[in-house]
Amino acid sequence: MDFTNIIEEMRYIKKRNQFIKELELFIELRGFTKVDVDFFEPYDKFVEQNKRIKRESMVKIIDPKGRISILSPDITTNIIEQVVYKWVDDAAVKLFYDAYTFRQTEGNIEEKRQFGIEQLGYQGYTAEIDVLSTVISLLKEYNIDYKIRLGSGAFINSLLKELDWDKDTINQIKNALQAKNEQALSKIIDQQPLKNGSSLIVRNLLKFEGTMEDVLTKLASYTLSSDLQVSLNSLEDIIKKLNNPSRLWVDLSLIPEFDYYNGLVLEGYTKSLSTPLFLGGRYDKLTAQYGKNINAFGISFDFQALIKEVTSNE
Amino acid sequence: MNEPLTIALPTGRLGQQTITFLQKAKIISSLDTNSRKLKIVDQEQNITYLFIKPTDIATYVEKGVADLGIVGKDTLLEQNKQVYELLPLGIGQCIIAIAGFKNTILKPSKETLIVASKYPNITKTYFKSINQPIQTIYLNGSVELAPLMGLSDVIVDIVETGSTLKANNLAVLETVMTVEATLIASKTNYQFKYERIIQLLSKMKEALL
Repeated sequence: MDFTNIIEEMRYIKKRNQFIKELELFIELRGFTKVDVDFFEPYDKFVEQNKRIKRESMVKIIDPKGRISILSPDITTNIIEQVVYKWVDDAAVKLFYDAYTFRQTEGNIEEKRQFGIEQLGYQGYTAEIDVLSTVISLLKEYNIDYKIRLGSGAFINSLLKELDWDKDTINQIKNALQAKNEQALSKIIDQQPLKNGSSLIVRNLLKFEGTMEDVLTKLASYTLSSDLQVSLNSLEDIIKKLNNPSRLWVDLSLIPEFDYYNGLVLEGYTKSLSTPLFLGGRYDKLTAQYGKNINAFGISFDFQALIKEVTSNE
Repeated sequence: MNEPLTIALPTGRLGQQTITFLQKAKIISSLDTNSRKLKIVDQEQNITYLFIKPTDIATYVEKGVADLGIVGKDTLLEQNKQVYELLPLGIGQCIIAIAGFKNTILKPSKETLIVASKYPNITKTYFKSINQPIQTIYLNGSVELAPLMGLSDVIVDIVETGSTLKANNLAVLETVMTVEATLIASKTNYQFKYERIIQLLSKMKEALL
């Protein structure tokens, strides 16, 4: 925010700091602990884990030995790196952070402040329920009107895997789904010589949105593999436990930005903002890539947007 | 009363075709489109129409100022905005083509081809896909003049009838893609006004049959 008057600016800063203090206390009271986050990530490793983030959008730093690092474009990867090596069996931790991510845009380095909440090592859907309930009560506390779009990384990943098509085609499909571009989607599928039951589901994937009941009704006439059925059941279980039907929106075509999400994925919207206020999902697959199978779920807020939303609501 | 909705429509020729289409789809009931107002409300349907330069439409929709918009696919591809592309509308159909003098060689292999266009991104993407190095010159209009005056070897431009090309002794050398007017939606507003947007979408689909 820009101010021409120092008194106004100090008033705003005071209000903002007050909110951050309240927020941290709110989260701490629910058992989360604040952690520090590194600024850097090894480039090679990050690229390997996140194939859909454009390489040119990463801010690179080269040390005198020629090793390339990047300024974190994402905090979750960073946290996992720190946690995995010290992990002990049966551990269960709740943590939160307030940190910056960096992206290279044309001629600029874009920094984004993120506030995230993560739960690691919890069995079942405890983490989903716990984190989302915390987020929902936070939004209520500050009178923020919201909608949460929920999808399943497991569902979409299994489905696309069942197609057994090349990577380029799969990426084209993901882009068409992301733009809800039905025509482009049909065109890509029509061009494929080998089709199966899964391609029929993919072709209709954009229709599978609405309440959980709506989606299940629409899916009833399709034959689902056991993997798809399991991922759908788990989505249904979580939604039942969340108990906020009017604010929750199921969309099976939701493609998470990061490939490592392997369970519930979500995007939180608020009317005044054209981009999601918060994003998140289950990412056990990421911890496995770092060598430990840890149940992990988290969400992160666009913190500048959240601060603006709260300070302008007051 | 229907939930209020805001739709961004293009000014100019495509705009008129769009309005005719929306009337056919029974989305516009009464609208005085002859006035020079940039914002007109259709009280009966509770829809506000904004009349905007085609290149600005996706921005209004991306930022959520308009819930929906109608814009050429060429503009969408050029701008790469974060919006949903819900439906191609079958109007404003034309091609984006590489044009130049009839004998121009399009793939002089290692030599750089000079291309003038108001679509620098589409141009770069296309020539990259055929491995032809190019230098792009961004122009805002009268692109056909560029090869005539030796500013570029070829142009990449939208071609509807081809009469401007012909009048200037130029011809289509290769079609890059076909484009048409497309219905786009704001990602945020889609979540909040889903029912209403889907209702309009199905009316449009019906009008296309």
